[in-house]
Amino acid sequence: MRVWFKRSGRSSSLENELTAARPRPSERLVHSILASLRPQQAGTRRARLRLGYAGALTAALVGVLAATGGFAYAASAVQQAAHAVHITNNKPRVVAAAAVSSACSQYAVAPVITGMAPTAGKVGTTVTITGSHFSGNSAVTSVTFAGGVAATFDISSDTTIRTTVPAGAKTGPITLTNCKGSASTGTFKVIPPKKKHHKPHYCMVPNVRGDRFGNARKTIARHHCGVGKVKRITAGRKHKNRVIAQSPHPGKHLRQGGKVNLIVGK
Amino acid sequence: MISRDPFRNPEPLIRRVYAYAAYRLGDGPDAEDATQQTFERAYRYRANFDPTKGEPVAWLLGIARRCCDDVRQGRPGHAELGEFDQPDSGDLEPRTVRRLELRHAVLALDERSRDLIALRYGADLTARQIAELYGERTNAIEVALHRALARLRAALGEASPSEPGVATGEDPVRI
Repeated sequence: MRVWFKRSGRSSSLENELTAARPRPSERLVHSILASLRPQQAGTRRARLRLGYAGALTAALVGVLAATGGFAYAASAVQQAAHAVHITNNKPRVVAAAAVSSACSQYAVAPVITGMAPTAGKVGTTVTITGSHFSGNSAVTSVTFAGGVAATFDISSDTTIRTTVPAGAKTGPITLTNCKGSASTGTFKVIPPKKKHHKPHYCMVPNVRGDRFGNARKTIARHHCGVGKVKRITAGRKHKNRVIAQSPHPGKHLRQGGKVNLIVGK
Repeated sequence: MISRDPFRNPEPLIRRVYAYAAYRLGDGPDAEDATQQTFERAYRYRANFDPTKGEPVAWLLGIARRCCDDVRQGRPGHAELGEFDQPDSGDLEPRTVRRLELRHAVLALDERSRDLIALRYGADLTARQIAELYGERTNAIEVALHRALARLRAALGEASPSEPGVATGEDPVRI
């Protein structure tokens, strides 16, 4: 049997309506799927020689002996290693061989950091770093915050340095450098200054479809919009007291306090 | 060069898969579950995606069809459809009420018609792509779609503008 159809160039109004009424996923669903699809970011692996507590203690001890001039050979042994000791998660580890300055005393050793306080602060906060080899032959020559910003510092003693968080510092380790090498603290968190909250002069319509009516009202108010007409329709138990539809659509910008009409299940 | 990664631009895919699931299962948590499951399975088996066989959306919708079937089997019957009353058309938001009527009418269609409408108008596949998915001929799908639309019009109480075999001014094309 031959069946003939009119193939129209234009879509019928029902087809247009079906396309326009195409349900849209909530932003929450889109974000959750996007997050699950995002590949696990491979962390940059830096080859690190872990010494452990015992190794770090030995290195520090040898360093102290060398700094006091007791054992020149011990200093040279440390120089050969020329490692800087980092403290991360309270575990010291050797991370990098430092460049050895020709003007450096043979008794100098790289600084060793054992702690810092506080571990977070705003620009201008004074941070106290404790450890050893901060003065004398091993005098620290620079203190750098993450982001490569040099900071002013005060060497209080061979075991204590006070520094001030400079403008432009970023969250990350603080690095102490002397002629023998460098050492870094754990992560110092730079707390950004509080931004002044500007209340927007518009309302961005939130997606409240499927939300309970009470929660929808709160969400709408939080987005600087207002609840407009509310129509209650009988729509089954699943939709009882939940927002079935809203107008205008989520994401639209209205003036501040703009009304969002809701259709809510009885 | 054809990309082997089906998730190179995932956002439009999520929207199309969700629209398909929502036309089949109803807008809401069931459709969200089906969409989540689709992408979970697709991500697990993404190595099986062959770009020479078709677009990522067609591959995803093949998975989505099975996920929707699983979700439908998991829920207690179709009682929810029956208890969804027709919203009364008042003066408030006639377009919204119309949209709800339309979605309800789609949900009340038979399984195949609903699937076809969901694939064509929800996921925005062409008749040819749907035919490849079903393993049928393109014109068989076009006829089935036409009939599904006619059923939908009948459910909405509208007159069909172009019944089969009825010439309406333009030259008919044999398909």
